Amino acid sequence: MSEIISVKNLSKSYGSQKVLSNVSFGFEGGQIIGLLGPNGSGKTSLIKILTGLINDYTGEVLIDGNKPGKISKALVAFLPEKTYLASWMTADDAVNYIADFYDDFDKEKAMHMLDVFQLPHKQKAKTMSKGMQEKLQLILVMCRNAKLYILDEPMGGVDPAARDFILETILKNRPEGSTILMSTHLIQDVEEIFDSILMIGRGKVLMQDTVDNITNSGKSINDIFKEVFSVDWSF
Amino acid sequence: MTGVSKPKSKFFKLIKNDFLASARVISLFYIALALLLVVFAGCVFIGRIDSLSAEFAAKLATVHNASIAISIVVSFLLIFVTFFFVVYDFFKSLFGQQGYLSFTLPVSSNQLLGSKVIVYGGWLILSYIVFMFTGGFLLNYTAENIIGQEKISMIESLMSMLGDFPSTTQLIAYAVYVTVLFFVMILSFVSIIYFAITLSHVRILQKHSLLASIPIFIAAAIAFVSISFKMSDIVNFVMIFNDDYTLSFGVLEKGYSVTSQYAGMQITPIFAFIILDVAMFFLTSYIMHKKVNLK
Repeated sequence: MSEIISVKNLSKSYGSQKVLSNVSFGFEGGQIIGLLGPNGSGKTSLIKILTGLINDYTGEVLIDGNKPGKISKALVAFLPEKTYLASWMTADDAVNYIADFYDDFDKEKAMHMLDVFQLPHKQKAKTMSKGMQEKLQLILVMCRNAKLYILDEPMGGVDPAARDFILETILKNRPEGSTILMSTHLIQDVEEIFDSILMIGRGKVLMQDTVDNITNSGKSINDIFKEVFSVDWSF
Repeated sequence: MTGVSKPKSKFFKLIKNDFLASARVISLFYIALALLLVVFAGCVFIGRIDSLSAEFAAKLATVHNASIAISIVVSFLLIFVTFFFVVYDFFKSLFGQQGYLSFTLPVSSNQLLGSKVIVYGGWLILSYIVFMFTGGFLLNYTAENIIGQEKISMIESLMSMLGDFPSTTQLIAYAVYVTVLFFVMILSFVSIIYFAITLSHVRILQKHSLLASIPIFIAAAIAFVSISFKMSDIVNFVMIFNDDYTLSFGVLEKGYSVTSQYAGMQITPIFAFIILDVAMFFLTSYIMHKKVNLK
């Protein structure tokens, strides 16, 4: 099976500050991958590169064999940490907008999910609560039949009940054979869903392994995370 | 699973969505202005009826005067609102949080930028035309029917303004020249604004993007004018209105100018602006693609 994400010798700097240094890794499709790392580890920069938001880097990045660009963007469904809806958009407008640009978007399913999630079709994004906006964005992303889902802290800043809801929505609506790359720092809440993990720290890949290998060693992902990053917090 | 299909149709969808986003507000001003002009025209025509009572005529005059005043205010507001949207939508939809949506669409930065230039350049042109039309409409009927001056037709006043170029060919050439110049100037204006906003969002300027965009805009505008002057110095291509009412094109030698020795119009600055617009478009698109980092 070809790699859905292939990164070779990737480096990225902001001025003199190097945020990714000669990073290399690859993942085959069909998995749920946990992208783990503390704040400032380079996770967001990596996600921005994979989604085509940052284009000035050195090294090679391929998404299903394509450089980040128009083709890869059609294959990737991206859920950023931020709310990105235009203030004038109603829920229906947002669904129609995404349907306009992504051929793999299931508009009927999205309209149905608006009802299931109790989101008023005609309510404007600017009058929605943050939680409602996040629900709407989740619908927009998970109603695509994408090859790769990149989810940046999808459960960041929400209560435990909402976390379960978000996780369930992601798992229930994920097309078979698709890949999910999920960045999170809430490892305990989601570690059971991961097939593989990628730990990034100080701009480098500190660990890439399957969850099976980790659990066979008798440790949890949380334990490994603490081991790998404890040095950052030691005196 | 599907890949990218019909890139052209995606571009048209960008245009459609940019248009819808802006039309929600700008079209309200067009509708308001149209209604006001209908009220104004209604007052003019009703005012022509001789058998009106003095009381009704006074009320009609009040409505008439109010419609003129509000129309003028709304037409100025229209220009302001359109200009505001040119800046605001570009800034918000690309460099605000909405940028996370815009820049992950399966379209190129050329298409993103092209759509904005077409939609907002179009709105600016349309708003300016509506502004001029409103002014002309009010002036024509006010002068003809209310103030009681001699009948002034717009065509007659235009003819008197263009009295030095009496042939039809010269008049058409002049009208085409002014129209093209107008479109090019609007396009250049939008190009420079978009360049300034984009450049102010590269990482080094990002923290003070609003402050940075103003000097960038001024510098780019000065560069536009300076380069067009320089190009005119090198090749001064002109359209000349000859004394025998014919039209000719040529290159003026150094030391001659259309203002002192010839009646005519300089064409080189138009070409210069078009070339600079195209260059600015691709430069802005490149910066947008390669150098901008969303917060």
